[in-house]
Amino acid sequence: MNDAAQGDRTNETSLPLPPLTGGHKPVRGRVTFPLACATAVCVALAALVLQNLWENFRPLLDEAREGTGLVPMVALCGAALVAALVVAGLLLRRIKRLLTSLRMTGAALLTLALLLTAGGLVGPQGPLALTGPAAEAKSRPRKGESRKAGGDKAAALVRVAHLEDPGSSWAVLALAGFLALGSAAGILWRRPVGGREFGFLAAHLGLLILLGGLVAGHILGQTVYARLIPGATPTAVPLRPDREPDFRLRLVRTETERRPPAVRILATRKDAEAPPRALPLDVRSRASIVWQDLGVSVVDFRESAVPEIYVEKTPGRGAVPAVKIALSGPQGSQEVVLPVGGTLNGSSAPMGLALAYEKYTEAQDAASACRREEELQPYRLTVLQPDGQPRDSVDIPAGRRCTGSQILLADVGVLLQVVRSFRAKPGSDAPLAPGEPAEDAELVLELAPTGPGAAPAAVFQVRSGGKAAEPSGKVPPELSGMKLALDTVPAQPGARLVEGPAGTFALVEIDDGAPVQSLPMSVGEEAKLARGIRFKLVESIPAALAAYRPAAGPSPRASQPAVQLEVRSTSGSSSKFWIFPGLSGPRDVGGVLFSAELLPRAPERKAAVLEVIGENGPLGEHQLVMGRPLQLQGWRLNLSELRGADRPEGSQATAALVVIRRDPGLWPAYVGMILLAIGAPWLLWTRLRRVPEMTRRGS
Amino acid sequence: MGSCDLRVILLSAGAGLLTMGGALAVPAAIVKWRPLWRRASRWSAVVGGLACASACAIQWWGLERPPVMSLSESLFLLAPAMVLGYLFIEGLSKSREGGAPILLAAAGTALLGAVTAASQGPLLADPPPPGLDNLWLPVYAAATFLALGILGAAGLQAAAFLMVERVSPARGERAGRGALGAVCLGLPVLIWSMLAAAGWAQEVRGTLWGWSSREVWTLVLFLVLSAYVCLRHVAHWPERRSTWLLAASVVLWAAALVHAPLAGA
Repeated sequence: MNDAAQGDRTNETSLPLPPLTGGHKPVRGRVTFPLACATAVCVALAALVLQNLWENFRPLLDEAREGTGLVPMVALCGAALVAALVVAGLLLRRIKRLLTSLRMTGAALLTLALLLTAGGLVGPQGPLALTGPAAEAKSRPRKGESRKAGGDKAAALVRVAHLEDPGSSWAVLALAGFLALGSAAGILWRRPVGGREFGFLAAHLGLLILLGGLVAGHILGQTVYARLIPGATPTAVPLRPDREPDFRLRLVRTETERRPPAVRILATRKDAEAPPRALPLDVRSRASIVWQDLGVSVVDFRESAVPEIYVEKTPGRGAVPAVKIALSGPQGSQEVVLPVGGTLNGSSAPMGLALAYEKYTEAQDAASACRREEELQPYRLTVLQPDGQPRDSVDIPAGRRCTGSQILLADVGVLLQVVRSFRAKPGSDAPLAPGEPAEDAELVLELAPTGPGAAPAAVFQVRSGGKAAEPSGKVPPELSGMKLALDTVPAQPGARLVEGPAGTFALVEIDDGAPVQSLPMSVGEEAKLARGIRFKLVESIPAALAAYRPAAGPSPRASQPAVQLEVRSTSGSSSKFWIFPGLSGPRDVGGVLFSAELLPRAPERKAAVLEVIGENGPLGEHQLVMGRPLQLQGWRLNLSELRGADRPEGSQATAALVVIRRDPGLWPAYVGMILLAIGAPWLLWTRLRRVPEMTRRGS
Repeated sequence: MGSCDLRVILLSAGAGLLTMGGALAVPAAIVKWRPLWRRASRWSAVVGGLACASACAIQWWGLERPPVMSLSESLFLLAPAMVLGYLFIEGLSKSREGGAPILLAAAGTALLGAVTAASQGPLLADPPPPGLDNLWLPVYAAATFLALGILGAAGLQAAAFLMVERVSPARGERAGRGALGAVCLGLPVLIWSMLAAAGWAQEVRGTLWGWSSREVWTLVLFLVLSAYVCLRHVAHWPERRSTWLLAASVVLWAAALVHAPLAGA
């Protein structure tokens, strides 16, 4: 290159070694670095001014016509044109020197980096992203509008230069073009031949071909953003009014593949104040560890199971009263065991009947429990995207087990915990006072993210009330912009067994959350409930350990992951038990509490099955998988998004967003990439071999 | 023993060895009996780097994907890459002036990775989300963090040059050559990572380039380092002036590092 050639004219085919100290003596006519910087800045500024003039030409013309008339404007433009021609003429006289100067290249590279840095800082994803007045500011600031903050001024400048989207900034494009011209000039005037120059030639030629491919794709390529809806009219590709399209696309169906949930085992000493510690146990590989003198091993892991509560008739620490209940009806018969305070609802409700068992030592408390209105059906929290499409939904245990329960919104990728639940009047944040009428009261849940990486003290509220709304409070970023709907309408009949003092029982039939009838019961007695189900209190167990285990046999309702752990102490005793994350509480084994939590998982595989329809009829079906493009008659299809496919029911998506491109510059761009990938290391690593030699020379 | 504990142990051991290597690099650069200090420093760095690389391999294997979805995962890749950068600089230019900052930074990275791994618990296999799961991903992961490790080492070596050059011109010159060599080594790898990212974007988005923050910051780092190579190596800028440019590029290096993971892709 020129500067280099001036440094060492005896070796024109290879670049000279850098000097050991200092720079060179000034050479007459050489492009100095300040001049190079000024030229690069001028190029960027000229492009910036031209872009703004181009975009505002029509309004400027109208303003000039209405105000001062066109003559001053024409005169101004003429003067600017003459000045620009003079500068361009001066530059053109030294264009070869300018384009081949490495100082000029360095200055252009640094100016371009500076522009992109400004765009990166103030752009939409940058740390100083445009907020406040500058975000709404037009490209031309309004008359009389004052901006006090220097940051806002800088942001407005960046906006004027279109740097928040560097691809649309003429300044960026002009500097990139200048650098491309420099590369072309280097190849043209330097005429690199021979093995030693291969790196220079390949890297610069590759860069030029790559840029050329990108520009060709931008100018000659076509892009269609198609929103395919099941059952809708096939979409024409490309959409042209004058010609028949190449083909039409119809969305046949969508396919999603869910990933099994991930489970983490937690343990803590009962008397310790420290939070539970995650044990290094991979439940899938049935791993074993020794933790605090306890041998802990995973015996079994089920990705989806139906939890079935059972009791061990073992009095001792943690033992609670329980009842054994037999249900019979048109669907058959079933026997369940229910500990005090327990609720069987949702997927674990026997024969679709939600059941709860409570015990009171005072007669008035028992009578109050018989009259209490409380849903046994779990609440349902639904997450809706900003466009109203459902994104995810999850059941939350109702009643007393609501507070503290964990909710995994797997498709959104966030784990939440219910911090508090209460009823409040619409529009009020205060819980209802005891005795206050609760007819129109709404259920309010306070939720907070939990698990690893959760934002501390980020609590937000969700209210029932029939319509989805953006939650109030500090919403985690995963739910930002989304609407939440809390559904508390019970769809399941239920019964609450209330035990009073002296072993008296009352069976309260519940419908729509309200008690319908209260029947006195005793052990061995039977009562008839809704839907022809007969309820029999088989046994009252005074002391038992309640736990969950997976129901025997496969079930279509299976949805809950379960882990079976075995804990062995140094004395040789062992304990084997099941844990259902988010459902069962901690299990006490020798003073150590074991529990499990669910972890959010990445979304599943998504695909859309498309029918391609040609001019003469259907051409066949193709599966378009997200992340795997599909080539079709010279077009390249990418599945961008499947809307509404994340619902837990696994229902079909409501729409598939497909990007369809035809890019004639793609293969040249690939060729350029390969040349650049080979040429850049050749260019730089061949220099690398001379560095130790220079070091020795220096010492 | 679970794999998580092994990662934590390896990273902690690696951090310790790298700290020792960094501490020994100071006497290796300034006092007599240099061969002893030099060998001790170098072997500490080698063993520490291997320990961090082993932790990284366990992480990669356990996750069933390259650890590039978040910055905490990527720390596993960065520490051994920085050690590799230092070993290259030392081998090429015989300069140990940058040993303390580079190895201590690598040790800090490894320690941070160990603390993160310990707090996050066991490794759970978590394949990448749809769209990220293609052959470009491991190439991108390896090239990006190798490049960032080597270029980070180059930036710290440049800072070391600026400190020692006034005191001892000969040492300063060696340090400068080391920084230049590291840039010449790391820059092509950075180009490969950009090309791998472009290939990945073409598969996922249907376009080679998208001006996301990851792409913008990597491009800015590439432009500044290219300018450094142009001005220093070919246009004969004074060494001190060009090294200031390289040392200042550490800020851009940090920005590129923060935006390199693909969490929001």
